[in-house]
Amino acid sequence: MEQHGRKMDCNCALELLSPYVDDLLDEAEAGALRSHLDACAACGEACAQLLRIREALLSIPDVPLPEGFDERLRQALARSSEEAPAGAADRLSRAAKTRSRRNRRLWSSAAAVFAIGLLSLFVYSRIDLASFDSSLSTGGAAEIAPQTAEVAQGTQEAVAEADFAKAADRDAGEARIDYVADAGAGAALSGAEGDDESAAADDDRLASANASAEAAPPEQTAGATAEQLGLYDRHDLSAYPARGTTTSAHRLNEKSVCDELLREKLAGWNYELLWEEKRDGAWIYRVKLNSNEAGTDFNQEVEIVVSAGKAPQVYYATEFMGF
Amino acid sequence: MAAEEWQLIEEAKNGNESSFEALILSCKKKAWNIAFQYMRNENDALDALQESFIKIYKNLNSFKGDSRFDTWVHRITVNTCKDMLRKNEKYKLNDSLYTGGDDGDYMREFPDLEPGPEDAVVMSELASELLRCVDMLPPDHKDVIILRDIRNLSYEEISVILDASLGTVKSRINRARGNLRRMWLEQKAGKDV
Repeated sequence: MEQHGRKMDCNCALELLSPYVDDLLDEAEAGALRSHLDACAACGEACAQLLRIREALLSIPDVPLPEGFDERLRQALARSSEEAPAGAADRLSRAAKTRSRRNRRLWSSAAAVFAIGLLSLFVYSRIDLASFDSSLSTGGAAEIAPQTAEVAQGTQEAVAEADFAKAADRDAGEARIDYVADAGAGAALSGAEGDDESAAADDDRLASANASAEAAPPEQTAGATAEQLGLYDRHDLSAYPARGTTTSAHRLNEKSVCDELLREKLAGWNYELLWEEKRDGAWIYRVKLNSNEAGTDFNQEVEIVVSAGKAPQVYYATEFMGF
Repeated sequence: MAAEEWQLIEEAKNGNESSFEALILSCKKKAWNIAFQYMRNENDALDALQESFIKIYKNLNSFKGDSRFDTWVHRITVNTCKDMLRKNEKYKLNDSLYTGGDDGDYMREFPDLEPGPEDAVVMSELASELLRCVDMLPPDHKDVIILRDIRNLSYEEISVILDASLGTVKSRINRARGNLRRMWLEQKAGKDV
């Protein structure tokens, strides 16, 4: 970029146009750029266009604030003061609410763990009975299996609720995670800062769960014998496939849900994950799309927002031209 | 910061709404115009502005004086607008990111040249065209174009508002302008055909 003593090339000149327009270049840089602009018609034209754009945007006049806003704001402030007292009392009230919310989450986690314990005893007692009953037919096992499947589902949900409560505590303010661009189809999506190991473990579980699903999905095992049922440990949630399972399994790690949705959205694309960050309950991914399924080059960056929560979905994306 | 301003802040923190009104008097119009440029219609901008000022009123305790008060107000206004825009239905992702042609010629959709809210004020045709392009920019580019090129805030103020380093702001402005210029030229080329 430092080309004061030599002739400046067009790439360098184009990079300097913006700071030049804003009068941020030192005299040497500005002089070198002016020389290049005088000599290069294309860069000269680009600079003229940039100046024209800036002048046009700066000329946009202010919009007058509509009448009545002051009164509207006064009423809104009065309403909000009635709802929550201002000053120290408000701070105390907010602190009390925060403590109360935290306590509720702790109690719900404890209750969930207690429920898991009870359900575990119930499930194991039912399985033991089934396995020692030699008169059980395949149909009999099928009768028990849906019930145990329901119990296991309940267990899943209880575990998921406990972990989701913990995950909710991590909400907001998570730092942006930058990735080194990795050539090839899809850099690995990893967990949040300070939670890389558990998130990566979740990814592994999801991956192995997909593999398990292909071998023997739970719906098929529902009709299998008790012996085959034993192949599935209903407290090992990785036995359940990521795809097609209810969101309760995915709630184990909200980030994994969003990662999975992103992978689905970008299935077939050759892309690199540049960075990701959590903001206001949603995960924002900056992705460089290298090429699509057909092999067409794109080399463009997009920003994809995946909302978490009970109905996660990809709901926002932007695109802009490449560098 | 002026002593009078600090006095007003302290009084407003204690619940004095008149002091709060006096405090925001000087930055209200700028905040309004920032909200208007983000929301692009009067009603949404008024909602955003009202919500911003309520947040400012309720969170005065968090203002530590490490930036100018009006810069802090602008920061809250920008964040409120962006939150509202994110929740807006019209920004939901379509099934395909691009409009694809039969031969894989992917074209970006440009906005229709319908009269927009900017017609409430008289401005050049070029400015109107550019504003429609600004609406199509990605959020971080739109931010810096609105704050720098439309509202003419300094790089330092933008750095505080967006909570980004000065280097990031410079780089972002550079790329945003390049993007806006290319978008505008493509739109012009499309019109001229």
